[in-house]
Amino acid sequence: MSSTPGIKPIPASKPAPTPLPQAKPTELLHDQYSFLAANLHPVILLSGLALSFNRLVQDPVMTLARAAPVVIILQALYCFLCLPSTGQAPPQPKNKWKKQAKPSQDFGARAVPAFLSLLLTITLTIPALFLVLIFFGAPLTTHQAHTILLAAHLGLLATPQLFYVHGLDVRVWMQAASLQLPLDEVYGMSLGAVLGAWFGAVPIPLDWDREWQRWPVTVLVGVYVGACLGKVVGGYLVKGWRVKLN
Amino acid sequence: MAPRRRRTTAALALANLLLPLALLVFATGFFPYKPVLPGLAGWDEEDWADAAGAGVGVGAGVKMGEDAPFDKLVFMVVDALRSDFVFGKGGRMGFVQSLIREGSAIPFTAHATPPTVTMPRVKALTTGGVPGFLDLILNFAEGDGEGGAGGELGGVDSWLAQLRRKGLGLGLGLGGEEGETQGGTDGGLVFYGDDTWLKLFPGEFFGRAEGTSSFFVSDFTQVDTNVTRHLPSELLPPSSTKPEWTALITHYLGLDHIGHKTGPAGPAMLPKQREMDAVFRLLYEAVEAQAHLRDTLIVLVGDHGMNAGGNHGGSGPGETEPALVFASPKFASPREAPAEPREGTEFEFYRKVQQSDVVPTLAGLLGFPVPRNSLGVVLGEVCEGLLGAEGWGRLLRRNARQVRGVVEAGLGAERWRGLVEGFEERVRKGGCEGVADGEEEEMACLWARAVGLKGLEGEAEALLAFLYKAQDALSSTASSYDVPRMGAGIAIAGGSLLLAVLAFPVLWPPTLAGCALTAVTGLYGVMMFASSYVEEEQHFWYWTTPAWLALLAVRSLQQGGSRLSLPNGLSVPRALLVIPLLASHRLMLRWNQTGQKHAGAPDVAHAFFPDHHILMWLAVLGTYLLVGAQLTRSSFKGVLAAEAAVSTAFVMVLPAVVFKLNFTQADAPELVLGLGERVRAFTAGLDLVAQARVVFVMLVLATGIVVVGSTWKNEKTSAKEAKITLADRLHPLLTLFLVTQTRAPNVPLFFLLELQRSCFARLLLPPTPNPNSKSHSQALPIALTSLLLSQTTYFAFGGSNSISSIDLSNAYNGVADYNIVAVGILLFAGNWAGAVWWCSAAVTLLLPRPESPAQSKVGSRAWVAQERAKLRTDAAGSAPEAGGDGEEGSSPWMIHITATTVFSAGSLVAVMAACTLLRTHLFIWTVFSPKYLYAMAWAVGWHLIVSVGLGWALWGCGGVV
Ligand SMILES: [Zn+2]
Repeated sequence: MSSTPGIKPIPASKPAPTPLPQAKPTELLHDQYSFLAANLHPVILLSGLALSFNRLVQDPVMTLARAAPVVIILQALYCFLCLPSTGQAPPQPKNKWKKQAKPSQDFGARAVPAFLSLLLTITLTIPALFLVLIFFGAPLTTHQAHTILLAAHLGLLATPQLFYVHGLDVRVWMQAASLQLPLDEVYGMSLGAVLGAWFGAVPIPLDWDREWQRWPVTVLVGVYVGACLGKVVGGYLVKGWRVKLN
Repeated sequence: MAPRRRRTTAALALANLLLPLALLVFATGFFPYKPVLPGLAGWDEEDWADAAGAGVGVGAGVKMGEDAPFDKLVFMVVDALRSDFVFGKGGRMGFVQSLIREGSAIPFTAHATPPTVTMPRVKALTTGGVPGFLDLILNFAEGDGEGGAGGELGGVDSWLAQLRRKGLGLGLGLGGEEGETQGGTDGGLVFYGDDTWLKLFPGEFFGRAEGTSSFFVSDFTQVDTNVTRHLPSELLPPSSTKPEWTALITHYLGLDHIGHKTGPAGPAMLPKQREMDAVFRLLYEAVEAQAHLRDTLIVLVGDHGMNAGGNHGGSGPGETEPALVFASPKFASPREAPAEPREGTEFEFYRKVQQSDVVPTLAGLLGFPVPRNSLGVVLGEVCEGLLGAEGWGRLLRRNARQVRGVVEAGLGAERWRGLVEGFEERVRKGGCEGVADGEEEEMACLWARAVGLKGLEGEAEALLAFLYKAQDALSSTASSYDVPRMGAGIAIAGGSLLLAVLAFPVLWPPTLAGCALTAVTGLYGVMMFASSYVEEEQHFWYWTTPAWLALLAVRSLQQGGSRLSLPNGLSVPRALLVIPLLASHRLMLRWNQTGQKHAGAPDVAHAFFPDHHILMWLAVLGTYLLVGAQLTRSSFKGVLAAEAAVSTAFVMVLPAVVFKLNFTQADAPELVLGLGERVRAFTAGLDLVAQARVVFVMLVLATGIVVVGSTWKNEKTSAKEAKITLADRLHPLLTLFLVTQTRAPNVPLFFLLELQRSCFARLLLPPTPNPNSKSHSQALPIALTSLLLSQTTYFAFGGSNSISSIDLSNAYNGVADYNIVAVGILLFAGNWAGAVWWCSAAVTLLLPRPESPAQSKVGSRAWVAQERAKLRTDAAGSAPEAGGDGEEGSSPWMIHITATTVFSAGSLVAVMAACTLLRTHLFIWTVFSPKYLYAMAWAVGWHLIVSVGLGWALWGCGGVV
């Protein structure tokens, strides 16, 4: 951390007391459905985006509003099918081809957190993300519906899986906000969505006069592409890495 | 340690010395200096020979030029008179339109080449030359008494000089060099209107003249009545008090002011057009009725147009399409007056010609040699009918010979003769089609063809072909780029960039701020190649700044460290300071809509404040109050007794507020609306110049008191008392100066800036209270922060990369007689106020100061001092190679300057490379060359003078370490 120019490296003498055990990268549930569903997930999201792109350009508000329930269900299914919920013991390696003992037993233990995750996303993160979008330059006096729906999609892609996996522990969320969680496909997807939203703003000022340069099409595409890219990169390429700023 | 420090310092110094050199070398290649042919043109032998056949000249009864149809000229310039104001169905110049239908007026749309600001346009209209972008700088910086190569045209050939010589009966011999004027006070030329003309033609050039100033664009009527009131007496027969004139020139500014203030559709626009129509009618009817004005030609011309927002400077739609009308009862060619522009154009109602074409046309109609540097082509519609076929042919030959002179001057007479001889054979066999060697060859061939056809049918057509080709080739500067020089400029800037990078004491491993600086510089460089990003540059800074703020917050969270205690006893992570930072940033970027794409969209300064002017003045007063509080609490603290500090601050801020109120009443009365009437009445006796001087003198005095007082005090203060650095003391004074240079709607932005600075002071605090790491580890983040916010605030204050966004309104504060240095400083401070402010703010952030309550405790400070002393002895004791360059290697300020040098050099390389690679691009003169001028201003004004110069002074003064 001491790579600042002109300064002698100072050894970090007193590491901060860690009240929280170092978070480990999230592992997927170990059954063939999870694996399949987890890999189908980005494909479905991206093909959905590609299929509805023209409608999105024509009528962003209507298209985004109609797509939102679909995304909610998709994200709930993803959490339900692929991810270990809060407090659940890390999945034990099992023989993939052996049928799980009693799938119906933990149905409730997985469905309820999935439902709660989506509920928290809608009530907590979407309003917060709306504010963040405004802070980062989204129009305030016009296009409110556009921005709210953009925040909704950003929130839906970035947060339910975090709620599902990490629960409501403020300390974990502080770690998530300060980029201190280890990268995995859950966190990668969240970061990817946020970064994608930021990069999605790049083409707007160009003088190409295309319909799709209108708010919020490019940002939304950035969110989706970023989320899927982040999920794949975080889940496979850089799994377990940690972001260090200095 | 010493050699290393010396090495980095030398690299940094060299990098900064190379910057202006790179700018200069590149500019000489990019804006080539065009030689101006000296002296006034005269009649030459060929003219005499040509004329002899027509019974004019020596021996014949008629003198050269006496056979011309006109001997007097009325030249009526209406600033920003766009074509459609005169010709369109929405225009209100009905009398001019009726003359066009009758045939007594001949209309054109005259193309004004960018830069479409008044001074270069007047140059084009009078000399016929094509002023380049360097004239643009002179438009803002023309000075009295500068040499002829600068702004003045007194010694340059123009129709004014020719008419003056003719009117005063001065030497009109062969050669043209003789016949120097001897400063006659005769009524040769008469001028009323925009004083730009008086700066261009200074001294005794005009027999009678009165200038009006375009200083306050809120003046719609006075500037014009001050012109019109002279006209009735000027149109009377000459008398002993008012001798006869040869040319009566007027330049009306009101219409341009209305455009700037309210746009082309503003409520005052149509009445103003009617007023201009009435003036034109007055002139025309006088010419019709009065015998002594029988041979008078009237020209109505706009120097440039205006865009949809009412501004001008670039080449947007409407800016380059002013109207041009020649009128006289002698003309008789009735034509239809279309109400709509031609298909596919917005402002072309009639044939589109060049503004420079006015010059040879006047030479033909009034009978004087075509001015030497003209690139104009005579207008057949105007001349042919009155001169007859023979006279028209003679005029064309004169025009062509004169243009050939310009071509020869550029190519060299030898080379030109060689080229022409090479084509003589060819043109005998056929035409010049298919000469694809180059523009010079084409011109030579067309000339050879025209010479070959002398006296034959088709000569006129051949001469016109040569003239238009030459005009086209010589007007476009594309052929005259000096690409090797431009390359050399890029290479020097690249060298400067390399040296600046090497001047970083540590390059590897990179830090967050280092990576961010690299990314910002790199992305900015790429962006410079896209014209739309150059036009909309603000988006880049509005986009990167919040991301950097978020990164700073994340970094602060990761580092942990001291928390922010709230008044109610709670404490929160310092990262939460990002919320007020982001909120103020978001508010600022809506303050002034800038850029081209959404120009004129509603914003705080132009849409909200005019409707809520009381709210604006409350915010303005709040800002002044804050400055006053800062003056008391930091500037004068300890220097003056508490009561004296308060009253001094009050005495300083009060005249500044009064000046702002009075200035706004003059500049933008719609924002005052009867507010503070008593104050304004009370101060009415003191003019604005004096009021501004009061503010400036107070600032100078206060700066003196603070510098002397704090130095004297610091010597006496014990270490126990918290010191306020001199940089901290001077910062409020600089703020007051910048606020004075800022338009009222933008003043509250300084409140937001101050908020941002205090947030940064806490957010950028190091996690551990290590005195050594404090400034050093934060130097690069502070540099990047100040860079991002300098740029952001520049655009938030309404700046852009377009010439039309330069705000001249505060450039003359306190300046009575023109002073180029003072106006330059005030102009820069007015347009770069936020950027200059951040330079000073960065120094105050860099300097260690007792900020958090824990650190300001006496015990803690003693500990700091001890620790620092210990580290210093440690560093001195250790071997230089062992990385002992911490404290002594580079001061935080050096790192700061290294970072801004890297960005300045990097952005210059990109802008120069873009200008070189895209030199044939359609937008080179409208987007990329203005950007180069702005890049120069950023590199020299902001980086070298303010960031390095002022920053060095402040850092040196504040030198606590
Ligand atoms: Zn103007």
